[in-house]
Amino acid sequence: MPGSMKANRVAASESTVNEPRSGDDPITINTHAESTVALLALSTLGLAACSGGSSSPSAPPAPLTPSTPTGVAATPGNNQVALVWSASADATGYAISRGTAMSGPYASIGESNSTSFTDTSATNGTAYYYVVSASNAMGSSANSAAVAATPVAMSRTAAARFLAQAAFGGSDADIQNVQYQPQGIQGWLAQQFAMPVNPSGQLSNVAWMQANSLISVKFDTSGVQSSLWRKLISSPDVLRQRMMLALTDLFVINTGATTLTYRGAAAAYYLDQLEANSFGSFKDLLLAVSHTPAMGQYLSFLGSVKANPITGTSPDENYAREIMQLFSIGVVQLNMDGTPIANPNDPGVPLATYSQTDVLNMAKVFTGWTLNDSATAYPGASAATDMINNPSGLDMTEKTVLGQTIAAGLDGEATLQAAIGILMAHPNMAPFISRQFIQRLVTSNPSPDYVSRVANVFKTTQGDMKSVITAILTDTEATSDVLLSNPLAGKLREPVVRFIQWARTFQLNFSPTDATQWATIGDMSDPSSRLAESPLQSPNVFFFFQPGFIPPHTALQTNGITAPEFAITNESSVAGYMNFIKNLIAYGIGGVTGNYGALQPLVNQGGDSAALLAELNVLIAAGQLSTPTLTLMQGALDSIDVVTVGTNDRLFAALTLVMCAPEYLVQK
Amino acid sequence: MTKPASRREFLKMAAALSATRFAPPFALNLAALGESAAAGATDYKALVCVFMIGGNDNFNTLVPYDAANYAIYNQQRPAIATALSDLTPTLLTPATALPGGEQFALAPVLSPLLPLFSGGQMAIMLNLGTLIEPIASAAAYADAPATSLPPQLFSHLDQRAFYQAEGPVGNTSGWGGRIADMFAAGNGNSLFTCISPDGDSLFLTGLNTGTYSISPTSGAIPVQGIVSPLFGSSACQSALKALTTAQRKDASGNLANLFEATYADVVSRSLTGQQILGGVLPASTVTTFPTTTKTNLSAQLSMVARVIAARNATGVGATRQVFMVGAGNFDTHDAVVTLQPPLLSDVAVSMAAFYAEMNALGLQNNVTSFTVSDFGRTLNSDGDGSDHGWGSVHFVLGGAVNGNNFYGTAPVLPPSLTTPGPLDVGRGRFVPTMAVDQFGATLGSWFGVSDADLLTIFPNLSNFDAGTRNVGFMQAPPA
Repeated sequence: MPGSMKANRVAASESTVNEPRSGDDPITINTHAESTVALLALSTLGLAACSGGSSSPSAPPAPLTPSTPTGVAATPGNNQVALVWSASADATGYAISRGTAMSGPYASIGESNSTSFTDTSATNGTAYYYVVSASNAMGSSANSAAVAATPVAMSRTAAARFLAQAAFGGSDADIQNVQYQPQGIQGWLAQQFAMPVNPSGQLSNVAWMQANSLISVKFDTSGVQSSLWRKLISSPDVLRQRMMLALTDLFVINTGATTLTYRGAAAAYYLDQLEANSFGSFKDLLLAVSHTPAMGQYLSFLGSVKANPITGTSPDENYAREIMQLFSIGVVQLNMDGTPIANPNDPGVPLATYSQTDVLNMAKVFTGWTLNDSATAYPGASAATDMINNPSGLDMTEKTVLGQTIAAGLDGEATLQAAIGILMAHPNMAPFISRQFIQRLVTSNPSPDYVSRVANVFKTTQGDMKSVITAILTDTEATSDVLLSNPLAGKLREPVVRFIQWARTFQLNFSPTDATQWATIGDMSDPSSRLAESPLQSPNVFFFFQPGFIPPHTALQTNGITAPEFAITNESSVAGYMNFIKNLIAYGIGGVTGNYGALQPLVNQGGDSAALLAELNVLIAAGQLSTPTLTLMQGALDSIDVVTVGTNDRLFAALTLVMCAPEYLVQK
Repeated sequence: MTKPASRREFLKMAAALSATRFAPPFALNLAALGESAAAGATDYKALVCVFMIGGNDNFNTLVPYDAANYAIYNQQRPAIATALSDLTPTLLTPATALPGGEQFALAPVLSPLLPLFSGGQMAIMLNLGTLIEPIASAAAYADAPATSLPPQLFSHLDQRAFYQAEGPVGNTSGWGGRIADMFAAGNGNSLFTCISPDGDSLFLTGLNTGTYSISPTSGAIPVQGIVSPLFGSSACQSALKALTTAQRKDASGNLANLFEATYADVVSRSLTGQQILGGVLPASTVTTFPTTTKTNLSAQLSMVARVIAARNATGVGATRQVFMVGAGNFDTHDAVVTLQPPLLSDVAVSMAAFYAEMNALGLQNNVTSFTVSDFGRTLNSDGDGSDHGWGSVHFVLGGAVNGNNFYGTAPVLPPSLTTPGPLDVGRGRFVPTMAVDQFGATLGSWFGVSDADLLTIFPNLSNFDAGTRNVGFMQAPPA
């Protein structure tokens, strides 16, 4: 008999696994409890071929409910999940339901008359499960198998890359925290900006040194050095700590190079003042720095007094010069994009921002400043308190600096405020400072447009640090692929940042209160055996490297690419670093090794090092190790027989290879 | 001696340079590769620059001693003047007395240098500083157009750069390196031409010659994971070497990233340098340095002595080398009487010991060391220190030096606190009467650089009268 009714089939029991169901059968008896109507339907094909028979004449066939959708796929995005599926025959529409557990409950979140739907009410970081059913006038199909998706703001690699710019890399949990932010990196930044100074029971530098009986130690900076490593390595406010490193690169002090008795206390207070203002305004940073005994001593205006015509002394010019040259406007007039303003009279000669006369007059501003001797809580307290101004030493004459006049008769504070105000208003400040912060965080030779965008934010917010930091880290030059694919772009990671990355990623477990442990780190500036740089240890106020450095005899030089960190990269320091990092990875520091627990299962997963390398690539190198590099590494690592020698050799070798690889060392 | 006439010879030399270093990024100045390069020196010479970083206070280094000048010195900086009685033991009696009965004494802590001065091995420059062209007086300075003055006078970074480069910050080579450019191809391995135990510097950066960095304490440092198995694995040892020296290419065969390529180049040189030097650097030939080197400067000069001792070793074969060492913290705005003496003592002890080592090697006539600094400092004090100055005092030390003499003209000191001297541009900052160009050219000439090449290496030298371009503090070579 031509045509036949295909046998009804009892639907298989509703399955809860994501297996494609056989959906080819045109006739289905839906025995699922949720079905609305169970119909016995005839294939129209079958009926069409049916010749007249002895049975009663055929009625028009009843329409069928659509089949259960198959091929559902979910693609997580930023606070959304995009769903697609295969079309169901006879469907006129689809219903999408969502739950937060595989087993449900599922609730309807919307409908679609196409085979796609985007859930825009999802939140990053939450695991969602979706099912789709098809419907028409006759009713609905069963639900599809469920698919799972967790929306994320960005890929794991992109999040790791962001942390390389904004923090010191991070652990898997740190990376997920970025990925799962509902507001993406803006959300992460808001989280960080909201963190108070000294969060979670951390102590300030001064308080920690007091607690460890270090604050009154004379002629010593090892205590404050320990305190700073404690902050940089273990304080939860990572963005602030990364900015602290940038700020100590810019506002350089080395109280160990001064004659200060309580140089440790002075440096501790100095650091605390930087931290307190790190997310405030640049003006407040300059004011705070200018009040610290550490800076007063380091750049020698503490005790400087107005000119004495009898003895012939004149005010100290040191800070007056360096606050302009290094801390605010620089020596060369700049466009907003950081390029020097062209000299119409002589193309080869840049235009100077200030003259020796400006220095002389600025020196008069920094007169009369003395230690606050009423600070007597402990020996050295005056070194850890703002300087005060003694009118008898203050030059109260009218002064003209950078074309602006500071009125006569103002007291020390008002004079200082006026001088800082003049600097803040100078058009050089925005590009000069912005470009350096970009160099510290993201890339060594930013495009002029990038500098310009950040400088304009600096200018319009008058140096609001949160706005400037946000502008730097959210700029498309930082977040897009532009830097990844430009052979001329990059940033040789500061050796100190590489060290802190290791310490934070592998949870260097020093006790927060144990000063002895933190003291095992010490001065890291020896290039032969350490990092060739160390905060608070700069040999002079120009820091270990300068923003305009271009390595000679290189293609970077041919292309005019500034690459500051290469100033400390030489035949000695590269060897010193590789030896240091190898030993650090294997033996830790201060007798404390890194915590590699999360990596151990990967060392020989599947019998080789591929999984380990894949993880290290993201965790340490933000995914920037190329496939040929990973292949080379894997070939070498797999030759280590972990069955015989254990997992450590392969693990340590892998981490050493990664942390010595140029693709890691150059952040893109 | 004729120039290497053929362009072919020049290009061969340029190719030899680039094979051992980076390809020269600049169009080489043909005129620059003149007679000096053809010298193919058979004797050995070395220049050692001792950079006092920060601007050494010259008036407390070489102190006015005669009554009239001492009185002015004391008047200008009463709180920090060295007591006259402390200076008597180090009073200098040069072979040619200064006119007008002017006398100077070394700072007491510089006493180790006294016998070297009297013995004829040390010369003293009286008023050396950065100049583009001669400036006759403070009045001339006040009227001088900006282009005739070194830019950013009194700024550390700029003056430091100018001292080293004869150009402002942004200049890409220094005269030590430019001198070395003339001779690098004549060395067995041009890598070991400019050497520094104190990091990279502009001074030692030539147009083609770069600086080889060495550790003051450890010499050429081996990378443990490359010279021996990495965590027991020779495969990982090879991989580490391959990775860190690779000039990684993209799919089109171009360098994938210039930062990476630059880093890999440094590693390659480090490995090459260590392979050669590591085996031949004497454990120690030095006998006069303290066995436990107390200062970094002492360790640096000690290492320079050992490198010089290894100049003929396999793979080195050097005939001309330029070194730079540095000592920091001379920027004594404050507390000069506390801070400066230990620094000066360090310089004196270290340089004297270095000279003794060269003597022991029989190289005292082949090696000349000299001091430089960012600038001098103000005669006038700001209380317990002084500020950035200009013309300064410097030493040249070696067996080939015409020692026991002063060179140049000391500035006339200000008659009173309110009357400047004729060269005084304010507070006892003095216009130099000897330019770094002239000073450097004298050293370069001794080193074997021709007069024509000196004019290329020292861009401002032609602004000075031909008869003044060689200051005369180096002995004429033996007949």
